[in-house]
Amino acid sequence: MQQKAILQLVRQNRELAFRQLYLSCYPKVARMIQQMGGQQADAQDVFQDSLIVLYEKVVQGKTTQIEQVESYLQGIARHLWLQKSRQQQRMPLDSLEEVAVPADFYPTEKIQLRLSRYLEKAGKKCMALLQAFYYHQQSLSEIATQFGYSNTRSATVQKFKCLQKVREVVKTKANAYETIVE
Amino acid sequence: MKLLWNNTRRIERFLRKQLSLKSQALSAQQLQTDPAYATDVLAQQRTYHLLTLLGRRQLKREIQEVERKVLQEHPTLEQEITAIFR
Repeated sequence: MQQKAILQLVRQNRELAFRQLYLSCYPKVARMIQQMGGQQADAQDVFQDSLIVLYEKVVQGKTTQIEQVESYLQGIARHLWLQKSRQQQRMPLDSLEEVAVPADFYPTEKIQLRLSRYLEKAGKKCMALLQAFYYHQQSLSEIATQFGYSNTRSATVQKFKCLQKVREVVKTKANAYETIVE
Repeated sequence: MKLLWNNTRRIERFLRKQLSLKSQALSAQQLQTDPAYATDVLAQQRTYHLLTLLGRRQLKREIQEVERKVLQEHPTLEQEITAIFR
C-alpha cells in the first residue's frame, strides 16, 4: 500500500490501518526488540505504543517527517524501547536517540489507574466529545454528526460547556491532579 | 452559564495564541494580575493534558483489541512472533 494511502487510512479508519500495520510491520519490530534484548511482551507493548505515536502524528497533521511508515514505526519502536530500558535501568542514558516521542509518553502506573475515576464526573458523553475534538482532532462538523447536534455551532457550545465542567473538576481537585501527574 | 463557557473559550484561544495581538497581551497581563484568571488558565492547561493521557489509554485498549483479532485471524503471524523469541 502506498505511504499516503496508509496515512490517510490511519485517520479515516484506524482499525483497518492498524490491522494492516500489524501484518506488515509487527514481525520486523519484534525482531528488532529481540535483538536489543527484549522479550515478546516488550515487543507487544512497544509496537502498540508505536502505533499510538504514529496515530498522534497523523491526526495532528505532522506527517512531513514520515517518508516510509514502516521505517518510521521501527524508529519510534527503537526509541520507545530505549526509553523503557532506561527507565528499567537496562541502558545508559546516552544511548537514547532524539526521536519525536512525547516526553510524558509513559505516565506512571498511578496516572493510569486514577485517571478515569478522576474525569468520569464530567459524564460519558462529555468525555467522548472532548476526546473526539482534542485527542482524535475531529472537526466540529464531524462531531456534530456523530453526537447528534443540529449544527457545528451547537457542537461548539457543547464542547466548551463540557470543557468547563472538566476544568471545574480539575480546579477543585488541584491536589489530586498533582498526585496523579507529578 | 454563558459567561462561564465564554471564559473557557477565551482561555482556549489565548493558550492557542488565536487572539488578536491586543487581546493576547491583555490576557497575558491578566494572568499576572488576576489570581482567579490564573487559576482558570492553569486548570484548563491541566485539563488538556489529562485528555491526552486518557486518549492514549483508550487508544491503547483499542489497539490491544485489534492485535487480539489479527493474531486470531492470522495464526501464522502469531507463530512467527513466538518463533522470534524462542
